[in-house]
Amino acid sequence: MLSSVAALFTIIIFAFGLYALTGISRRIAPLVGLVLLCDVAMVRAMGGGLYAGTLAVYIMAAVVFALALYTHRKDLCNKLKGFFAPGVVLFVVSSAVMLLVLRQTQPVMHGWDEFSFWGTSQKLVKQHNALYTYYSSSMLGKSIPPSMAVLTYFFGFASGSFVEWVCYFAYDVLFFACFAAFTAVFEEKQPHSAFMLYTAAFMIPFIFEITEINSKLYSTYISAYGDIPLALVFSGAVAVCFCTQHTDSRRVWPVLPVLVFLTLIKDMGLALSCIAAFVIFFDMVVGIKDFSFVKIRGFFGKCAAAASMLAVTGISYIGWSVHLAKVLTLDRSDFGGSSGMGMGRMLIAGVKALLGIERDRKFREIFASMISAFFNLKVSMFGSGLMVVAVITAVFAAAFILGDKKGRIRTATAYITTWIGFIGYYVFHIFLYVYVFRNDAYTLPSYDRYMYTFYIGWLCIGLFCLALAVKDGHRLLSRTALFGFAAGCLLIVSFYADRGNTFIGVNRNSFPKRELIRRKAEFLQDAISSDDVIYIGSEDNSGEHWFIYTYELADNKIVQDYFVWDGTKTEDEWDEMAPAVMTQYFKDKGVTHFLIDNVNEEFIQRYGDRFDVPVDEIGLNYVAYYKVNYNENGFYFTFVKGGAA
Amino acid sequence: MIKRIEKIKAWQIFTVTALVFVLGFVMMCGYHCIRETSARKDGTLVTYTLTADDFELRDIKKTDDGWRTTNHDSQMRLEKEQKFSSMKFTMDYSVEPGEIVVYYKEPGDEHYSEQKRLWAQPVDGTDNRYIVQMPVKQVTAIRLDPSMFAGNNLVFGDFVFNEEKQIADYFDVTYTHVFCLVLYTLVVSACLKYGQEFLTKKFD
Repeated sequence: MLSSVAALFTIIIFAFGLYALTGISRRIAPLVGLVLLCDVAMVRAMGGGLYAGTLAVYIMAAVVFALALYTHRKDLCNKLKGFFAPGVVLFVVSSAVMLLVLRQTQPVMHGWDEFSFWGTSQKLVKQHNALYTYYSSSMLGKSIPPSMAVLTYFFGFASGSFVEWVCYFAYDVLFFACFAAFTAVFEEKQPHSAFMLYTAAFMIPFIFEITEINSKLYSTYISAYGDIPLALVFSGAVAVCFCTQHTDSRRVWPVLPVLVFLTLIKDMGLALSCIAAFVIFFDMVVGIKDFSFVKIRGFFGKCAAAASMLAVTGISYIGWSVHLAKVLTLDRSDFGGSSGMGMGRMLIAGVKALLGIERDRKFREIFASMISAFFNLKVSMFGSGLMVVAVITAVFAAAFILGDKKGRIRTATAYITTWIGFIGYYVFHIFLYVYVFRNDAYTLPSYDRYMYTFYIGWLCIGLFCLALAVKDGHRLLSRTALFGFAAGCLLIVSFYADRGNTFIGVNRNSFPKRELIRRKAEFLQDAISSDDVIYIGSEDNSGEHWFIYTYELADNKIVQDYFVWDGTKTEDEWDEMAPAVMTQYFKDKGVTHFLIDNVNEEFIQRYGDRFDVPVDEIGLNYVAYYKVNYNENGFYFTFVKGGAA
Repeated sequence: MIKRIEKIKAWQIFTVTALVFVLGFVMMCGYHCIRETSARKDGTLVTYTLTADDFELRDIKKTDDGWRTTNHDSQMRLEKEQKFSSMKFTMDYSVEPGEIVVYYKEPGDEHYSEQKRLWAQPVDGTDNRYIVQMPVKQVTAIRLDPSMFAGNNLVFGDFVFNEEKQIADYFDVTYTHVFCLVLYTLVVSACLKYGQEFLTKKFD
């Protein structure tokens, strides 16, 4: 709790320092400040100094604040008053409220990919005070960039151990900082319009995450996944430039740290950073007359600005690749994946197939299902992708009709550039499904998550245009449109969501599987040593238990395959798991210990004689840990620890 | 008229909106309180106690020392036309049961639906007593899903239906209420402020 408060406070004073010293818009200051702190810590972390780097950014924030106080010692009161614009106040208040809510409800990690990467990485980084590339663990996605893990580390820096809800709090503060940046258009006093824009932005993630009225828990605002951060930081990056009034370097340099952060959220961040730079560049071309960037004037100044954006994006991407190559000896240009192609070859093959030159069966089928998914698959409360695009178009259209002349040009340009970005994004995902995903590619796994990332960003950019219209265009109708949209979002979310499926309704009953395995892992903790290579066996056939164990026992090596004995196994499948076969497999993988999550009768029949202490007892809440020994008859297991957790 | 509207300050709009919401909430709680008291008076709402054996069990087996779920969707059903307002029960378990939910059917419903679902809340400070409650309604059937796991060993105590509430219980304020109050007040007062600008043609 205290460390979260310290982090939030540091962000606020640093944002104030930036605002007072450089004169950037105060509403973008929290976002720029937050990502700047994380970027600096991240660069140090890639060199192996995460702890020192984070300590340094705390000191840096304090120094900048002190400097700002000293520089403005005469008009400090005015400066402070000026800093707390409605957007900034909303940022501070919603962060504080969220802190209280999370502290009260104490949610824990619960989503699939929180156990495969997003949660595990944060836990490991805190425990080791270093990036997850520096040590061995059972985590899967080691090559995923570290923005979010460093962000959480920054928030948990002053606390002694890893607290799971602090991760959610860190994410939420990032979101709120983005929302505050969205309101930057209203630099004059328009508190209620700014508030409505903020409310709409707050509701938008719900609209895309809760797509059915039924009340299972959805993790909006309590999730460690990288998709919503990707979407909101993408639109935040655009907002930092699009929504501010400056026509000099102050319009450009604040975007750069945001783009670095965006590129390093996950691999797709590179694509979104490029799209953001693309949208910003054309907006500057049509939207600003007298522009200068580092003393270069006019069109060439804008080109220089765009070049610098692309440069930082490229440098961050390459920087992480170099880090991977050095520390992990991993070649990032090779996606692995089903085709084993590098990025360049994949793009060439993809474009060829798209033009109809060399289309294989997989491409044809996935292409067809991607097209049909756009029209038919429900990805939001609005409906399918088509409906989402219709809503986005309506927002842009309203902004166009109600805006002033300049606003119209900017709106139209933004609409066209985002469309181009969307097509590129969509096509790129077709390539990913064809060339990287394996057999499950045909079902388009995680399609909704990948797509709403862009939809959310796109809708937010539409809102910026509408805000432009409120500021300069038809005063009455543009506000009606903005208020109507925000109220509409609130209504539709109220209709779909109830307290049972949002962050407010979380209680200790919400995460039963996680709780069960946490207790089991805790029970075994003193029996497991850090160099054990563990094989897990369970009746659970979804793999969820296995994933949760990789989180709980993240420091151990856990063999990736998974011994499942649910009641549906055929005789042939049992043969594939015959003791002789499994013994060889265990030897190959160097398994030293066997963790039994639970058993059924069939398993006991086939393997029961290989245990020195019978496994019959191992039911739902029991767990047992055996040492694996090998002799001429295959493996046999000696009891280490077991019982009711 | 327009001049008078023009004079209203932002904080006044905000306060009045908040008060209206609070008043609305209090009135609604009062309404539920009165309805329940009168149903109790005319004898349609009665307090009574059942045991687990009175339910129709699906995918739950009786064992020597309790019950055992055999499916992750095990159910306990009770077909009984009655006025229903709450159910309080004791349940011990071998594994944290997860979300405990109660579905109900109203007259004319063929199936249980997710729109008619209640969440069991732990009774303050205990880890084996739960309560499910709603404003009094005529129901024809109730279904309790006690655990999200197969193989959970459960021990049920009494099921107390429609226990009498204290007056204060009707006016219980939760975090959700506070959150909604703040959010809706802000949204509505922002809209009213906009209405003021609309009528007076004066924009900030």
